Amino acid sequence: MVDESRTYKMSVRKALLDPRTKLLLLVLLALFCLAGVGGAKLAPFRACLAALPFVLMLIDKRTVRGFVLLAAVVASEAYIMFAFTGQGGFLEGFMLVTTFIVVRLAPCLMMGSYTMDTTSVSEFSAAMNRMHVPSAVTIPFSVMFRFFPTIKENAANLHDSMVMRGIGGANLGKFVEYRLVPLVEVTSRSGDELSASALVRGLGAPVRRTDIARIGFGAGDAIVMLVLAAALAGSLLLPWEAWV
Amino acid sequence: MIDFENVSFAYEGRQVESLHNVSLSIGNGECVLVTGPSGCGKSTLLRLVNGLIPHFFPGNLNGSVRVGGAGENAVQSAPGAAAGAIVAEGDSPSEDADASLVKASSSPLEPGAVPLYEQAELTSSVFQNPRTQFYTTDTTSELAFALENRGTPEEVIAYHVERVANDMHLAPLMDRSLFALSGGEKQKIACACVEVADTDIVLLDEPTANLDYDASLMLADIIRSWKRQGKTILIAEHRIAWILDDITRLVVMENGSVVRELAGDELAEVDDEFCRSFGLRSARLIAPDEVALPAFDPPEAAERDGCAIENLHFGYTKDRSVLDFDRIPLARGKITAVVGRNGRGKTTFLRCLTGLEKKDKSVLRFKGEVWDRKARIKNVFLIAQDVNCQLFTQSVREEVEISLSEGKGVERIDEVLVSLDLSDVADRDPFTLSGGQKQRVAIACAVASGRQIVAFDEPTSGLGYGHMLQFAALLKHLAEQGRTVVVVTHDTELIETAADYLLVL
Repeated sequence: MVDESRTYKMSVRKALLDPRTKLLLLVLLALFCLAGVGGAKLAPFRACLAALPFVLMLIDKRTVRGFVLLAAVVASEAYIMFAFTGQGGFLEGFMLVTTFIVVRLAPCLMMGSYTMDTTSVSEFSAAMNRMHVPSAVTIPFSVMFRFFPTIKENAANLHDSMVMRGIGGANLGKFVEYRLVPLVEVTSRSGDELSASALVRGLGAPVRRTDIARIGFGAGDAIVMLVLAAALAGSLLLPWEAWV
Repeated sequence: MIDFENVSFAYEGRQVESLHNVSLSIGNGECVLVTGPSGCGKSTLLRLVNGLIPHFFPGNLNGSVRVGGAGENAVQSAPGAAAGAIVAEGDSPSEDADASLVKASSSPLEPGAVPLYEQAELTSSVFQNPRTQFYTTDTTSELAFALENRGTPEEVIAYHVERVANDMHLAPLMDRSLFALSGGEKQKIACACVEVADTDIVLLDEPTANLDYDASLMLADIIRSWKRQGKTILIAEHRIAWILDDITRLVVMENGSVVRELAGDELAEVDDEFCRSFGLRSARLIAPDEVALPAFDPPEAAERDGCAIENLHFGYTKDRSVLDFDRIPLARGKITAVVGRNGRGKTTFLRCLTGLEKKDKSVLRFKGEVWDRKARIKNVFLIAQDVNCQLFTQSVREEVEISLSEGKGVERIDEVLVSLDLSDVADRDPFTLSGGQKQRVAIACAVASGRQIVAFDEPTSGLGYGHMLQFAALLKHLAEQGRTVVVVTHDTELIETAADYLLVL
């Protein structure tokens, strides 16, 4: 039984990383990992950067998911660096595609998921305010934090109904019709209700909005930056190719 | 405090007026319940007060709505305020109303009169759907939200959030994800948000539609405390029993007009006869598990071709089981109402019964057959509370067609559509139908599927008296066809009207 009589004291805990650091990491991951900026010379830096979201997930959220995926990324990196022969063939091709996805896409998705999981709407909005981003930009983005989980809930409900009614996605056309069309309709309805409730509580007033979230750069941000700077310097200055 | 003067309103794109010449004056500190069958205009009335009409729902508005303290503080929603509203032909009262607006208000006379954020300092709203009325993702931020928008200093926000959390005994709910709360808990947070915003006027639009019996009583408690604080409260609901003792006035609406107003001692007249004559829900407050109905307890001999769930031991975590039953007999070809207090696993029971809970190990015996989880998915039809999540196709006919059991021809589609009074809308997109029609489409699918067990989750939570009776007749129809009907519900009247047996979890 929970003790309902205990008194509540509001304490806003500062997150491990500032939201702006997380946004910067997202951009860096998209640039270096997904788009591959910097080419072969920056491979160690890229490996460090790619491992970061998993490590963060592990430290901050303590999820096994982070650990398992980190192992997959390390294994893939090792495969590309050491075991890749360039001879072709089915196995080589399969491994190429798999490791490519793990190394390039997974870190970005993980960072996105980490950012969504660990940033409250209030923190995000505070960070945007500090960067002087106008509210016309901040509000739609902050709604996403609320909206993704709502879409997920709706999709789960639709999925259950489809299973129950025995409607399978036999082909792509039917999948789109039965799965996506209702999801869009249900979700747009939810969206309307969400906006109405936000508006009647004064969202969009032309006053300077307060944010109860405590944000600001701290030790966590410093460590992340140092690690990345060291990795970048190492990749550029050390003759690491000779060691591999 | 709130004045409606000859207000008429039609939503954009609709011919029929949702409100027709409504005049209503609500004084400071009153607690008014507006009731009537669905579509009577009670929600529209509330939207005029919180400004969602015309800012969010545009349309054609005539007459005047005044909200706020008398005199200089009055904030106005202007007549014809919707941008580009076309004034209806005939003698519209809008000119006179315009004149009165100039006299009473200092705000400029422009379309949309007062922006929503100004209205937000006067009124707070609690909505019907607990899932979609929050902006943030955790409870503490949500409580702070309204004050953040006003730019209130951080220390003041912290003070108010703590005050409300302690006054309303919310400590166990604070700093938690909103997605992890139950419907009742979410509605409690929505009320706490109102309390933090501390406005003089509180509006509640069908606040108990998704709440069970206990949660409704909890809500009534909160409303009583607002009354003591002197807030003006306006509730739109078709269920009246839960709050009847605490209101100062009852307003009955029908087809967009006020047909009856009762205040003070007159409220004692509200009994079942009164309710029936206006098509309202019962005025008696009875817990669903106190309805005098027998539990199904079959004699041993009849067991062989009966229906029963066995070995139902299920929980979401290892150390705590939600459901713990060795055997639950169900009456074949009868209607069983499943009731239970908060947190007794009503919804979980349905998910297990229909085979949606993957880790559930129970079996269902039906006429000598034994159905495991996977067999139940194919043999039990569930009609969810949110029917919107259950309709997939672009036409009612197709919806029924994809549900048809094997070996049935197209002529069966028409049979089913006729029997559920859906022939007129056979070619319409289910999403454009009314809530009641959508529910009938879902039932049509259940009938077409030929499944022997049909389960419902809170089917009448949003229905007025007339629609509830229609629904009860449908249930009986399903049972007459030999189907076993299981209804999870907290609707005492539905249980009294339709159910044969009561299953208390």
